[in-house]
Amino acid sequence: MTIASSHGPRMLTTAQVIVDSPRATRAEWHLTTRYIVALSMIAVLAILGYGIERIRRPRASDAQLIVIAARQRMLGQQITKAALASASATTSVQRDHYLKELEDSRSMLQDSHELLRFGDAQQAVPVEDDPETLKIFDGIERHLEALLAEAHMLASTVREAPLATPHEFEDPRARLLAAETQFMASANDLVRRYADTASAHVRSSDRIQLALTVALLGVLLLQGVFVFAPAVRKVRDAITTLEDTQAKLASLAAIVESSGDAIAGTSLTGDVHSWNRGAEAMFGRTAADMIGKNISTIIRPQSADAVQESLARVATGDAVTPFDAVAAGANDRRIDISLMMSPISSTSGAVASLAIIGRDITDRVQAQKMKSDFVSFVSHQLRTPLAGIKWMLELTAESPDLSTAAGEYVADARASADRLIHLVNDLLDVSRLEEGRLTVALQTVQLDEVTRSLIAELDGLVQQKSIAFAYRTQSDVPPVVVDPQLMRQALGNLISNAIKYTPAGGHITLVLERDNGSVRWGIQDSGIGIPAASQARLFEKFFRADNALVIETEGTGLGLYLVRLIVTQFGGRISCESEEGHGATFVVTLPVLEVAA
Amino acid sequence: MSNPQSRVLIIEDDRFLRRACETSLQKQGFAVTSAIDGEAGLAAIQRDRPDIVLLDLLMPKLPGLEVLRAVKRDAATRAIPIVILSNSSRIEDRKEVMALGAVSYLVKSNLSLRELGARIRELLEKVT
Repeated sequence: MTIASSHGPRMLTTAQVIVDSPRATRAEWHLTTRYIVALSMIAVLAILGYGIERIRRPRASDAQLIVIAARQRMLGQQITKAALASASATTSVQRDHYLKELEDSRSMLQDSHELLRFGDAQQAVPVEDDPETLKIFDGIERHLEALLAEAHMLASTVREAPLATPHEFEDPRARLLAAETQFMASANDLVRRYADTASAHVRSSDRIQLALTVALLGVLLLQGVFVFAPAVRKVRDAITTLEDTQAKLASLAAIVESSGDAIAGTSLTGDVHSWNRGAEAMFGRTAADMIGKNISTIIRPQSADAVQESLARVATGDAVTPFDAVAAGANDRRIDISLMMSPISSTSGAVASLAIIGRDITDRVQAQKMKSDFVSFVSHQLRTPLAGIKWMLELTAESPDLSTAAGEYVADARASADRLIHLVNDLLDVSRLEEGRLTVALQTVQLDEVTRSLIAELDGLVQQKSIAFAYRTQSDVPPVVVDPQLMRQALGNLISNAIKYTPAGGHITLVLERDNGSVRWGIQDSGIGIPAASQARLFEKFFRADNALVIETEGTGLGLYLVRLIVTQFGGRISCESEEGHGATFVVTLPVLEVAA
Repeated sequence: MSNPQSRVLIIEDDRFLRRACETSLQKQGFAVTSAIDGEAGLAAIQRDRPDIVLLDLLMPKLPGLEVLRAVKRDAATRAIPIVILSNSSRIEDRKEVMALGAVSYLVKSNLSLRELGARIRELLEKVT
């Protein structure tokens, strides 16, 4: 046998184990939202930082401004120097050279001043709008004008005077130097002003950068607390749940594997996807053999239709009561199995697969068959000698030379024989009804006719006990579809029970009526009733109520059982209501069916 | 009124049943003969042409069903009414013999000899 070699993992249907929780989904959304918010905040901070950088970048011109302002200061000195030098020149060439230098420097200084004063986008010099700086510009302008005027004055004087007569220029020289000193003070103010502005810019930029960095750290911290920590918790929980589920699955798988019943998981059409060891042993097919094949391959033809029909029904989510089928067992031996099929739903609620459990009931079926064969055989064999006894006693009873006492004995013997015959008949009926082997002849039957004929037949007993017997019915009670003989037997049992357990002078009421798509046949007596404790077991085989045993020792406990078997055979129900000492009511309800033509 | 001298043939292998039947039916006014198995019974039918036959089913030599078939196959004996006396109350058995042409199917133990006599008389009246 190859069973031992097939220890590999088998797929299990897990749909029923994994539980979907809508709460978890909501929490996930919550986390995702938080995460998105955090990322958005970081993005906003990054954009903000970049924007601030962009806005601050023009301040790179701070350095440019300082350079130009310094050059302006230097040009002021150069003008002064050139003017003074021209006054000291010893040659005309030298003098002209200084005067030209003076002119160049003046022009450059004016350009620089205008550049600073009015700005130039091309040279990245902004238009000045700071009032404090503008005030300084006013000073510079004034002093620059003065300086240039003095320089010009000196130069004009020098141009007209003879060479190398510096003493001639004492006054203009002194004025020029004074103007220069004032200009230099203003120019220095401007340089200082620019330097101060630049360092103020640097400081505010640093503060903003710091604020942004702190904000970023704050966001990251919040993200840690509100996003990552819960996420980690969630992941940990999910892992724990998964581990639990895995453990449960493993345990389930072990249970499934260890079961002696055959357990298979199949698709909706019966294709096998799991096959336990019980199934391997029962059908002599390994999981490797069966997985991918259809379950019907192990079903014998006589059960094929029933199995297909059940598969189709279970696949739609309907419940199917366990049913018996014939299958091919190990070594192709015939086995009887009881099959249970259940739908397995996915989390969405749709039927995803089927669970099929098979139990080997071969022994039980065999035992049942042997039992019923035995009962049938014994009963048939009993009938010949019973008929012999019955008939011989009948002949004896007719014998003219019988003493009174002997006549009584023979009468008792005949009653006993009849009882025995009755018992054998009941046993045979029960055995066949239980087996479902009784071939019934369904006919449309008016219960009124059957009832009237039974009443006529039992009228002798009713008269004998002076029982007031009433029968009521309606004219439009529909017929039922039953086997007339079996139904007659069932109703006959109920009527004779009522007569048997009702004392002399009592009354019995029989009612036959329509009842919402069914027919209701009820018999009420004024007999000994049935103890409450006995009522639940009343329709069991061989059961007899305690008080019945006292009154009627001859009963077999098969009568009501037989009635139940017959009534349920035709889709009907039987019920009993009683109070001990106050009579009993038995009600048979039979469905009104369409008559098959 | 039926003919009191109607000839009844009993084919029954159990001697007690045979004897009880013979005795009672004679007392009830029938001319009774009997056979102890299927073969003897069929021969008696063909030879004596009784008015009515009581036929058991489970018998040695020739089962009742075969006797019934043979009687119904033979044009000379086909008209003789045959009553089956059986031990089986199975509806299938009853249907089978009725389909083969038996006039009645009775379960021995469920029947008194008086009832049997009355039934025979009834059937004979129906036939004539």
